[in-house]
Amino acid sequence: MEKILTQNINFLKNIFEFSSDLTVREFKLRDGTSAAVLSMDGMVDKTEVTLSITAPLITAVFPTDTDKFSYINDRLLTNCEVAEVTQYEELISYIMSGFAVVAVDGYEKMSAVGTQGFPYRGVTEPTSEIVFRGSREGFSEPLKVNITLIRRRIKNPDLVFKSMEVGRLSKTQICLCYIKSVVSHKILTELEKRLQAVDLDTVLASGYLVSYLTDRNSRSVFSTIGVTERPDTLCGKLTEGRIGIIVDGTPAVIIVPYLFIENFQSFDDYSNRPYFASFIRILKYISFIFALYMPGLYVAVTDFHLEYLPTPLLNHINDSLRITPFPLVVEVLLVAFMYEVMREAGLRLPKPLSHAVSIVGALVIGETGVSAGLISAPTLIFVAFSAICSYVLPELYGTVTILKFGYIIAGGMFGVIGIVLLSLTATVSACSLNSFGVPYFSPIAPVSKGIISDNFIRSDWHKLIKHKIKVQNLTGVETDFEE
Amino acid sequence: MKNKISSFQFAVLTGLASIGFATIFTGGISCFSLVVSTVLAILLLVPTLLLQTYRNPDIPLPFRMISVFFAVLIGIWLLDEYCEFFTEMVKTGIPKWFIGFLFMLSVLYPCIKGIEAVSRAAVVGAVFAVLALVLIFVLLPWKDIEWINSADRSFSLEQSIGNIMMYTPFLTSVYFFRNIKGDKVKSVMIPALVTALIFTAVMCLGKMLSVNEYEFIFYALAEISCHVMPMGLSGFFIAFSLICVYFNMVYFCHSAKSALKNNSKLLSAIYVGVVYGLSMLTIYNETASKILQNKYLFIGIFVFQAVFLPISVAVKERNNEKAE
Repeated sequence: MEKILTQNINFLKNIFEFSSDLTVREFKLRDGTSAAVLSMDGMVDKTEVTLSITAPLITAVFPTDTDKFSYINDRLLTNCEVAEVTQYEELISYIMSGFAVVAVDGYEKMSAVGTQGFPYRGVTEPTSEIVFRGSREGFSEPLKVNITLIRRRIKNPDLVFKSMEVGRLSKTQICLCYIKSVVSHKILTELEKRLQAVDLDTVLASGYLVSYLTDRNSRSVFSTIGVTERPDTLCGKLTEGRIGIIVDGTPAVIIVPYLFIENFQSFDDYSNRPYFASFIRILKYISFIFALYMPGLYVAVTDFHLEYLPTPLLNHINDSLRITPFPLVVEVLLVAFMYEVMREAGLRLPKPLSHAVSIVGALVIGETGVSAGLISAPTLIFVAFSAICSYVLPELYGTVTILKFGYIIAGGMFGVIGIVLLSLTATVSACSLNSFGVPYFSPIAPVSKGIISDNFIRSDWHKLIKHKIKVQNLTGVETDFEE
Repeated sequence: MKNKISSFQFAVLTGLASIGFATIFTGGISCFSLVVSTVLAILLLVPTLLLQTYRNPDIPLPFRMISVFFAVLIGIWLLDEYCEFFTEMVKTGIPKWFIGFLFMLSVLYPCIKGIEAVSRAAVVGAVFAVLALVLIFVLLPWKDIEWINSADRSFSLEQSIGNIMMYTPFLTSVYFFRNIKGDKVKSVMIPALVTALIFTAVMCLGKMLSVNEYEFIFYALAEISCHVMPMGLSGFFIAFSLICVYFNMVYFCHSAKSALKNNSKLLSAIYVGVVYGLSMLTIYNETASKILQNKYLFIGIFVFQAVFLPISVAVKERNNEKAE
């Protein structure tokens, strides 16, 4: 940095090419020395800047023979967050992060003052993970707010937040969050290595990082990276040795390692009575099977293995199918495809319009389609029920949808044998995955201790704490990562 | 993988592989033959078990090549039997080459993926297989089934081949899977042997019940079960047998790869291609069938691997030790 203030200001203006949001408030101290406050418009709290920086500086009487810069830092700036800046890179970084930087003529250094005051969405209930007996707080966009939400829940010095920066252009701040006494340091080191290898210009959402965090040879329809919008869920995972990655500007926090079984666990399970929670767990597994196989098996059995159906049901299906013009497999694919289109349209449209889409879907495509003889009623029921079942596991929705279409095609082409073979292939594929060296299908395959207590059912807390194991202690974990 | 494979996983895989044949095994055999062939097969396995218990030798290349040939031979038999079963019992009219092609195409992926992933998947497959089997047996109309009183004491080695096939996964292939945790005999071979014995007992039970309306014992039981349910349970059985046969085929592909100490994708593709090609040849060409599916050839290699190989390896090792 230069000693002359105007040179520093000009340098900054040139860097930003006189960008309209760069604010330079120049003024004179009482002894006539030039000074300035540099900030980005909209990123700082203007009242805070005026009251805690500009006003004290303008009115202050500096004792003679005093180092002005030290006096400003020690006596005038009352903010709790003040840092000395000596490099231009640091200066730019602080300004872009919402700091107000105080520059005084004659000094090769400046003071960055934490006066962030940008507008952001408040802490609201996450719409994707609603619970009945838990906190209503969900993650928000600013990193600091999210850190606070976690720190408030784990008041322990072992909880560590480690900051990093990703994205060559966006310089997005991310924060690794873990409990140092519980986490596997090998997994942590590997995670840092993978994050450092992120080769992106911009990171606008946590989803951008997912493909960089996946293990080698672990590309599949199954996701080995978890995401949550709930601070309580994240805290629960941290206590099991997992690591959270908070990305500034995204309410979705990444969790690694992530296992298949976690798709069936929800925060409410641990608040409800164990019997009901276990019932819900089993219900989820059955729903998963129905969501995956129902349309495919319907096609396979009706087209290839009619002998599996009881006669009254067979007659009923046969009567319905006789009047429809398309082959069954095409009909099921069409209905499933139309449903996906309606779901996507309803999701992206403004709420009043999405209601209209629902009505069009239910009445026009559903009822009218059946009465016009274009779709058979059993087809509609099987596809619709499978779709409802897939909503029981929102995290697996994408996987279920892709596989479901695969099973419909396999069932339509090869019958039950096609479905079984595709299932076996999908199982091998899922079993071959690892999430940061932890087998994705653990603790089912490889089998680990406590497989029943918190996976297929939810045991009582007294029993649960006996089997509480860290993720890195599961059977088959391979944390000697390849270089 | 640097980690060793869990012995439990590998025991489940070996167990599934051994019962693969039982599920599609034709029932034209007496209970007496079943018992005799089982005793014979287990007696023949004793040298292998002893060699595994006391030594973990490196098998010489010629023996490895014989094991690879044996793995290919088993693959051919297996695919042929499955195509036969499927086109005769499940869906008549479908060409065998098509069923075989579909099956081998799906087998290719786990063959490429490696034994660790396959053994993990075997645990999941075994859960579904056991569920299907339990459902079939629970729903058997026990009260309505009559028992056969007259015991058939005829013995035929030719008919016993299918039963002996159940014990092929315990042969030399076990020597080659070296990346298994713990004592291979105690934690892998004995649990898998017990599974095979239970299935032999179930087959005997099936033979003693008068349910021989179909040639395949387990299929007959599944068909009988459907009488007490509104829908048939033969679908469950197809799923169950397919799971077992699938892992059986994958097991032998990996055993061939381990014998050659080569884990390449190309070798998996070659195994799958060769098994499919030769199997189709045996199905559509009688001369090829006579050569490749010669029961005496099979028994000869089985005995050679079960008895001659362990003895010669043990003797060779002992001589080497003496020389040192």
